[in-house]
Amino acid sequence: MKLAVVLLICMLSFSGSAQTDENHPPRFVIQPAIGYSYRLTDGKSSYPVDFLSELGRHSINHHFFAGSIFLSQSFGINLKATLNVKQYKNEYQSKGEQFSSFIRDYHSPLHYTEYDIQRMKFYLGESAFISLGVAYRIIKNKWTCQFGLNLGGIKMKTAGITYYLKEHGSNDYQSVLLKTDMDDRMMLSIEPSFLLSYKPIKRLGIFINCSYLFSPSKIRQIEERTDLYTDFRQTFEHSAKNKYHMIAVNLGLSVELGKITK
Amino acid sequence: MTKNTLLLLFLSILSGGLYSCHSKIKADEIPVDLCSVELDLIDNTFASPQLAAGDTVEAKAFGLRAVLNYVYDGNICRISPLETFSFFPACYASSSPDARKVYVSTERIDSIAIITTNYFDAGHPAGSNVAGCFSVFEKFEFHEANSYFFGYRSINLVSEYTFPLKEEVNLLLKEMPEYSGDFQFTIRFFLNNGDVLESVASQIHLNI
Repeated sequence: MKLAVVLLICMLSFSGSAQTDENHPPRFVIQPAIGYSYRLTDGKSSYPVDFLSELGRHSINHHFFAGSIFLSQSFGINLKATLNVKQYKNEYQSKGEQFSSFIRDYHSPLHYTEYDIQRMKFYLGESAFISLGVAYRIIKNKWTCQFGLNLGGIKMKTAGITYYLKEHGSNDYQSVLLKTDMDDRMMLSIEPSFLLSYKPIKRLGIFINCSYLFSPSKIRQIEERTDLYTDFRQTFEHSAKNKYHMIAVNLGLSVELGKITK
Repeated sequence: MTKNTLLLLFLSILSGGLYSCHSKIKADEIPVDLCSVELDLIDNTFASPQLAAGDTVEAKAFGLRAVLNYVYDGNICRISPLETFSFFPACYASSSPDARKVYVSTERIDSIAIITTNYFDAGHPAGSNVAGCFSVFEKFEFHEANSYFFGYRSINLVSEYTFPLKEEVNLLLKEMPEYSGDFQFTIRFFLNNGDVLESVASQIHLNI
C-alpha cells in the first residue's frame, strides 16, 4: 500500500515534465517488482538430504528492487536486491508423507525411522540476493526492451529437517538433522535477464521481467547424527548433486528520472 | 513473652502458608493417588518396546516397563473392582475425565531402586541397585531414572478411562551386564510419606 502511494506521487510529480522520447531517454530508472520463482533441480538423488532441494520449488514471494543508471542511451549499470521467501504450509502434508516414506525405505532394515509430518509445515527457506551488472536497452516509442547481466551473491537461510532413528535390535536412538551449507556462506550468483516495459504515461511504466538465476558454487548437503543417550555427534557431507538455479517472472513499475541529452 | 508468642504465631502462619503454597495442587490439576506398581519385561528389538514374548532377550534391546497405578484422590485404592465388590459402586466411580487438565500424584517419589537378584557386573553384585544402568526413554529423550520420577510431576496416563489409571514408563538398559545369564529385577519406589511400593518382574535370560 505504501509502495503504491509512493509510486503514485512519483507519477503525478513527473507527469507534467517534458515528455521523454527516444532521443532523450531517462538516465535513472527505479524498478520495484513482485513475482514468482521456480527452482530447478538437476534430478533426484538417493540421499535423504537431497530431499531438501525438492521442497518449496515454487515461490510467489520473489520480489526485487532494482535501480539503473544509464551512461549512454543504451548502456547502463544495474543494481538489484532480491528477496525470496518460501513456505510449505500448503504442501506440507503430501511432502511430509513423501519424506517419511523416503527415509523409511532408505534406512531400512538397519534402522526404524520416526518423523513428525507436522514439522514439514514449518520448514521455511529465505534467500536474499544482491547483484551488480550491466544493462542494455532498446527504446521504441513507448516500449523498452532491456537485457541485463548481473553478478552478485546469494545468502540463504533454511530450517533443517529433523527425524529420529532407532537401531534394529538395540536401545540406540539417534536424531538426524538434514541441512545444507548454504546457511553459512554467501554464494556467487549470475543472473541474465530480459525486461519488457511499456510506458503509458510520462516517466512511469509497467514491465515484465524474466530472469534465470543460478550459482556455479557447489552445494554441500550435510547430515548430522546425534546419539540421544551420549550426545555424540557425527557429521556426514554428501557431494551435491543439485545446483542452485531458478527462473523468475516479475511484474513491476518503472519510474524514470532525469534524461540523457545528446 | 507476648512478643515471643506473637513472633512464634507469625512464623507458624508463615511456614504453614509457604508449605501450603508449595504443596497446593493448582486449580487445573487433577490429584491422583499412587496405589501400586507393576514391573514388566520389554523387548526393544523392533520399532518400539514390546512386552517380552519369550524368556530370552538380547541385553542391548532389553528394558523394564514400570506400570504405576493411580486412582482419583479419595477413591478406594484397589487393583481391580472385582476384588472388592461393593453395594456402593459410586466408590469406584471416577469423576469425568478431562483431557485438558493435568494429572498429578499426591504422593511424591523420593527415589527408586532396581535390584538385581543376580551378579550384574563388578560394580553391581547380586542384590545391588542397578537403577543407574537403566534410563527412562520418553518422547525421544533419555532421562536418569531417579531424576525422572523425583518430586512433583505431571503424569502421562495411558488412558483416562481405565481403572485404575495407568502410567507406563519404559526404562531401557543402557549399561550391559558382564555376562549372559538369568536375571530377575525388583523395582522399588520410595515415597516421601515413608511408604515403599515394590514389584518383582519375571526371570529373564539376557544374551550379550
